[in-house]
Amino acid sequence: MANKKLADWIKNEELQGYSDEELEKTLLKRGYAKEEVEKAILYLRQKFHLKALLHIPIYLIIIFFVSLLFLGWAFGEFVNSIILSAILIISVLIMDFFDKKNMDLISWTFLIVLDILFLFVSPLFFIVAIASFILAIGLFFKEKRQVNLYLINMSLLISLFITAMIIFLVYLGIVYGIIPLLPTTSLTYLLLIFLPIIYAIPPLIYFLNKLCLSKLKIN
Amino acid sequence: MIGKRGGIARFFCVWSIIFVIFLIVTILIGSGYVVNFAEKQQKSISETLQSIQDNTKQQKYNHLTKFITSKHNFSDDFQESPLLITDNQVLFDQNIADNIELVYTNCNINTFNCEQVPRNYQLPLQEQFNLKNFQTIVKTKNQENKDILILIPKLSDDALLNILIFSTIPNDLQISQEINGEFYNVFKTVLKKKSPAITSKTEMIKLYLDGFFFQQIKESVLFYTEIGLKLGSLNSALEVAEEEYKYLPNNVNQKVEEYQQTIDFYYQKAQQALQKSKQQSKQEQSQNIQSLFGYGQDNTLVDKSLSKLFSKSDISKAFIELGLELGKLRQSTQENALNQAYQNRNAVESETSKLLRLKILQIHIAKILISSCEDETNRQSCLLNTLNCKSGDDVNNCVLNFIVKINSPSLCEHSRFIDQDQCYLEFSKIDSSFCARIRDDYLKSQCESGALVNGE
Repeated sequence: MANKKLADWIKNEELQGYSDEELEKTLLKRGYAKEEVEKAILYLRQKFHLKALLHIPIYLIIIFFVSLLFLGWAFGEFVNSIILSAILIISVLIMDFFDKKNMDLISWTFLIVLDILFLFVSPLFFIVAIASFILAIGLFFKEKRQVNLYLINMSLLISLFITAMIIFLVYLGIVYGIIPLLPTTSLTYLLLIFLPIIYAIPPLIYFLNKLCLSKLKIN
Repeated sequence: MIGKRGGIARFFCVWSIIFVIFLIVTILIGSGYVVNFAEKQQKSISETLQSIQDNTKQQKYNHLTKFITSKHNFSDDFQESPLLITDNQVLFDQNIADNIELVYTNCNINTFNCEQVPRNYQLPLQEQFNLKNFQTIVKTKNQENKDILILIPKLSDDALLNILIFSTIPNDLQISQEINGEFYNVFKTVLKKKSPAITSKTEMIKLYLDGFFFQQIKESVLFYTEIGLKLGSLNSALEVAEEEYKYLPNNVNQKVEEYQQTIDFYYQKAQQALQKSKQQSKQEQSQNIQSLFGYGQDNTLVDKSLSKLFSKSDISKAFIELGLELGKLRQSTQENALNQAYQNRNAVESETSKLLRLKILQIHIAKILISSCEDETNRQSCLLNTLNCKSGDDVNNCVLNFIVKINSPSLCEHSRFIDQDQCYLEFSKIDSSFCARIRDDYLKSQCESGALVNGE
């Protein structure tokens, strides 16, 4: 278990402009074990708070909700997309509360419950939610657990939904703009037109996720 | 933070490699699927055609058997065993060859005369006769009620085609010859039809991309439907003619005049009904095209866009065309049969042949009229108007009276508005054998005992 008092002290010192390395050296001189100091810093990195989430550019948050509602309408699940929007907003507040109260285990459990909740509301959006969760887990371990899983999950969820909307809009453009100009042909040939869109999906997610996290300082 | 390591260039490089691998795997899986689909498709078409051709040949062999048994006054109740020929053996139901006195062999397919050979029990049947030259063994009883065998010869397709349809109507009647001629044409089309040749795998993929297999499905469905419709129409005509011939009146001329009047009265109405049905089916087809593959039903943006996408594909084109052409085929077959029969109504022929011809035409018109209001919102008033009943009349009685007036029991099973048992009961007043067609056991027994003859 991380020493929460030590973590709070590191957090206050960081706010005054000291780096992790400087603080670690000071604490080692004061007689703290290296392992204890590292655990306290890791604990700090994994903590979530509302202000950190608000570092995601506001226009991306707005586009995310527009995407969620638009895709919901396009797939005939508009009501479900409104319900999911409400659930996401409430989940942010709940997560903030859990972290303030240091209820770490409950906040992890809540994150899993949140993804399962997607399945009950809309199996279609559950696919996006579970994809973002798996990617978030991957990134979490890639970054040696120095990030908050919920934040990464939210950032990827935003990226995936915006990507889905962009891809869908391009698909509509092709279907209504280009396809009518073509002669009747094999479905295979028609699907070939969409290859560039498929190619663009991961770079788009990558770019949007980078944009989401560009201003984010997880302290 | 995240994404700092590696950079966008490395990401694109890795993703491009993954994408190329993904494409190669997709192409390989897709090619496998296409070849598998094409092979199954060709096999299915060949098997269906083979099965229909075998069935057609079997029908012809059955007619030959009936001609032979009829010619020699053998019992109609016969037992058959097909002959399965392997490399060295001829397999058949051995029990069929027991207690036989005479074997009828080397039958002439034109005169139906056969050579009579006593059964030699010193030898097994397959050694006494070279069974490899025969198609079927038929066991029946002769006039002395003794068991005999008929060896039905194996025939070429052309020889089979020349065997007439066995019927109770004399073959010298013109109408009988016309029906046989039409049967000949249909059977010839079936037997001459060739299975598609199996192509190479590369060619299969090329043909798939050109939409060849979907067109092939469409064409084979249209072919079988056309054959089915023609055979249905011919069998129905033959059935009507046989029924009419069975109850041939003494005064044929009077009956001919009566039929001519009914035909003149109802022909225009039947034409109108066909035109109306044609317009309705056109509207229905355009409505059904959207929901052909189950998309376009929910009316969401995704459904609409998928509908738009699929409408440009060859699968969609083939099946939309199939739907439209099936509708047209049904309409045109019915229309052509009606018009052709109407144009030939004044053909120079014997009175009996004319009577049968007019009866067939009359029943054809009656069937069109009875089924003409199926798609109408107000079916009952439409039917009352079509059958010249008064508005407000009971539609069941109207249809029943029409069928009785036309005097064809086969129509009893053609309308959903009438009670079939009641309909057959009406005809049992003329011929008690119709009691057997009544489904309700109590009503059937009452009919057979004669208690209901007077419509009690």
